Amino acid sequence: MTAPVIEVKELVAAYGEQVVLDGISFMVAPQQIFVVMGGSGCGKSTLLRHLLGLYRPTAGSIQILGTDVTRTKEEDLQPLRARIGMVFQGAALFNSMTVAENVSLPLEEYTDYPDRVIQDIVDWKLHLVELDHARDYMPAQLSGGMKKRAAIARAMALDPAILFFDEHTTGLDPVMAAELDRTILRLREKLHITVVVVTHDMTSIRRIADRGIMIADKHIAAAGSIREMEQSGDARVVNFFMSHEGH
Amino acid sequence: MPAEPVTIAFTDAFDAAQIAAVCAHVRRQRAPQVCVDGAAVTVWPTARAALLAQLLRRFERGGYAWSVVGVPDDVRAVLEFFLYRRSKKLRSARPHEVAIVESTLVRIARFLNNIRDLYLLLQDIVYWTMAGPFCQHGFRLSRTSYEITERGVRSLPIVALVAFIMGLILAMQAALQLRVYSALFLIPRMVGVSIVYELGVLMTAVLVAGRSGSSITAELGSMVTSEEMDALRAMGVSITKYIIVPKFVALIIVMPCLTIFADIIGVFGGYVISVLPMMQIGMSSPDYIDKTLDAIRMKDVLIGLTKSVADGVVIACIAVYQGLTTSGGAEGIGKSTTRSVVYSIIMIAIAHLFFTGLFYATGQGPLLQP
Repeated sequence: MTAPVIEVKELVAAYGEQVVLDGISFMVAPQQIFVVMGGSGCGKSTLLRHLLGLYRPTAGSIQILGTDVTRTKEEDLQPLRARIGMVFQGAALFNSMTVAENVSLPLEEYTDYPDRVIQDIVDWKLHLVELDHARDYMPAQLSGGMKKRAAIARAMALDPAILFFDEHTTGLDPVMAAELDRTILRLREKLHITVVVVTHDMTSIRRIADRGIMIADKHIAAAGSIREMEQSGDARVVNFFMSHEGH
Repeated sequence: MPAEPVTIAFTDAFDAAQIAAVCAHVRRQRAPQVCVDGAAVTVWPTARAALLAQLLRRFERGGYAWSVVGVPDDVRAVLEFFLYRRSKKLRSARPHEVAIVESTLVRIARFLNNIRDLYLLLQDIVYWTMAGPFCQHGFRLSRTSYEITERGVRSLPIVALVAFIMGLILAMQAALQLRVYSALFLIPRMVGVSIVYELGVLMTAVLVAGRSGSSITAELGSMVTSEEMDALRAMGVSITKYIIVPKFVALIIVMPCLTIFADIIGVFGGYVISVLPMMQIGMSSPDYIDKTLDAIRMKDVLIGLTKSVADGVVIACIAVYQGLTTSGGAEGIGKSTTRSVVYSIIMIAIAHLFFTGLFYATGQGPLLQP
């Protein structure tokens, strides 16, 4: 059996006295599109920040690509972070830089490749997200969907093994959201990467998810494939699926 | 007999530093063909494919025919992208001279376009300023009074401070020079005429450009980027009438007021230096006031005020134009604001040069005789 790229064991996360996640455990296999879902404020984004090593958990462990991010010093996490890409909810592009400069930033920070090689990589990444024409645009000149795709290109600059998405369809119309989902599926197929998506958009979840978990009341309420989760008898899961359909 | 092709083993260890060495090796072999074998590579990150593309381009430039073997199909597709796209770019590239001429023409056209837009904007502003009061909801009195408070009343402290300091400096500089010629009695005249005729107006204009011009540009720029302007247009509301005219009218009203205020405070600065015993100028308070009033003619005051109104028009037009043509989000707003202040100061200096030259030529300049 292939070793999981992400393994979370008995994770407990808290802000001061307030426990947000309690006893979360799951595994993500290579090249899987794994979805973390749940209603607003259930702790999805908190879980994502713990996976990225931005927050330290109260208890439990998180193994990412064989590194325990809960016990590794911040400075030692840098090599791991170079193998992880993150696409933020608002794209988080740097407004003062062109699209190409945004994508080349991690390459310039982490590598010492010649400029020509960096530009080749930037062009390839932009080609993969179908933004060849927008390399010299400023972020303010892009539509919402283009911004997200530029953010994906930036997140992929260093050929990450895992790509994280935080609420990737937020602020996009259904057509753009569908297009973005297709981009994610295409990237997984072409680059063989693992994708972890945090979202409550059921339409998107149905389009892209292989497996996932649903968080409710600090715990995992359901886990498995979407079909398996749909058949859960848990009222919270049934409610979630019904109320977020079409979002 | 044709020379055998040179085979280069491309491995995981290959990096950018080795490109030159490999090319030198191929040159030494004097072979017209090079074959790159990538079979030994275990992983193909994008960077490795880009390095290989870099190597192949060097071979191409050196006149070598090259081939690649032992490379997976998906990597070959990436290589083709790198090489094909570059060659396409090279084919479409125009000669350097043509590009220079083209970009110069584009810049000239853009500049002329800006001048035309500025003229149309001014025309629109003047129309709504004149016609507004006669139309229903045409003139926003409450907004105009708010703008007067923002641009004028709130500028009083900084204008007072700078004008007072300028009066102090002028009087001290004049005293240093005039003491040599035993002509300290000319200090009130020099300070008064300099401030009322030129420096008070110029300083006020620069301060207003920096304080109010920049804030107008930033405000309008942020409205443009957040689509508020489009929303107004979509509602059929004239942006000029609704947003711009109150600012324009406010600046035209506050500029002369601030200038008179700056003149008075500046002259007071000179007064403080001249009557202070420790400065050893030995001028009495009534003497200073009399000499100042003698020196300043009503005509000089009016000329100063005319310039201040012109400055107000310049600042308002440039600030509004830069604000309305903002693009590019937060970065764009910053750039527009900087341009607004810089262009305003340049245009103010040019306007003052024009007025001074005009009055000089017509003999309307200030008098400095005792």
